[in-house]
Amino acid sequence: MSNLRLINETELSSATIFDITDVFTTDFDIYQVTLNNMNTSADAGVYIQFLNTSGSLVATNIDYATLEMYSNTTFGSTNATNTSIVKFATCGGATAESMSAEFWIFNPMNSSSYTFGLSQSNAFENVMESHKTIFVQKQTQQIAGLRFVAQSSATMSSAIARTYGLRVDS
Amino acid sequence: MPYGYLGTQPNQTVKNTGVLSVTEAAELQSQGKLGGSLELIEEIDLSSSTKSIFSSIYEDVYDVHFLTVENVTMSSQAKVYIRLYESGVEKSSGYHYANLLIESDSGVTERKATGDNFLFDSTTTTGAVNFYAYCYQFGNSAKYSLVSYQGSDWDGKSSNYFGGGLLPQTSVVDGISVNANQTMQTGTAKLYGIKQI
Repeated sequence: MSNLRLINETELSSATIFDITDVFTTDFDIYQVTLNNMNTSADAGVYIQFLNTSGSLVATNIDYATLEMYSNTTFGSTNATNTSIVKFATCGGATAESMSAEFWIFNPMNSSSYTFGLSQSNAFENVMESHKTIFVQKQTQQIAGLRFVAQSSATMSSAIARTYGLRVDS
Repeated sequence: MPYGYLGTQPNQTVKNTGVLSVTEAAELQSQGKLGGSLELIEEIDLSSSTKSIFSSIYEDVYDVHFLTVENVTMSSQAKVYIRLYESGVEKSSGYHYANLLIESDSGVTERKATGDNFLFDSTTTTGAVNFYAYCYQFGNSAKYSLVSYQGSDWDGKSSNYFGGGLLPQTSVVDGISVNANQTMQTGTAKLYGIKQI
């Protein structure tokens, strides 16, 4: 039996904001999140933000860096410090060109630690594009959920996010 | 194995203490929350082969798969590479991929292709080759099939690579093959479905 515990499955039909609330607790320290099958209404970057235990946005003090890997041209990168949002993917506007990603989130509910994360995404937006991203929320407040938004308020649809906790024996 | 919550809220989503009662176990099972979330579909011994095929991947059950390949060694330098199947027929062209290769003796290399004959590959080595991949939407005939992967190989130097691959066809993928240019002397491949509710 594996040590990943399925905590939550949230499905998005169509919206400009996709919230996954109250999935992180003090019961686990490390979480895996899979985001599968997301479409956007137009070619767009896709971003992640953080929610506190009240479901409110924690929109400051984020550092991140992303390596953008393309199947047909030189790789690029994006990075920022003390920002409000993390770009972790792109998504093509056509139905077939959906985006999928997996995340590891560390210590989101530890009020004496920053929240750290890793992600890797893959999508087709005229070309295959894979992103490898590192990020940190530089506040020690508890993070209980995630928010996904798309560039220029594009509508996101058909996505499924599943959150797993890495088992703790105590 | 310590997991269970007798005397507390019976929920497999919290810490692992106590003992589950039969009733609690049945309740958790019905919610899809009992047990681990990596469900082994098949394990294949790769030794003495140049191709091994996962031909029953339950693409109608899982929309995310997890593939691991570990400890592949070969008698002479070669690559291990992944291909997909549509309706039982191996696809030998049309793959897109992009990944970054980091090596302990030579730095960083961008690897990319549009229209190659494999989904992704290892480095050229006698081994050991080790990698994992998350596979998305193999059973969805309306979406392209995607993978993201990371690997770590050894051949007198450390080689690490990570990135994505894609088959830009709206089709159902119903098989995965693990291939090598030389006979694999050792190695194991495992395919899991990632549990969903």
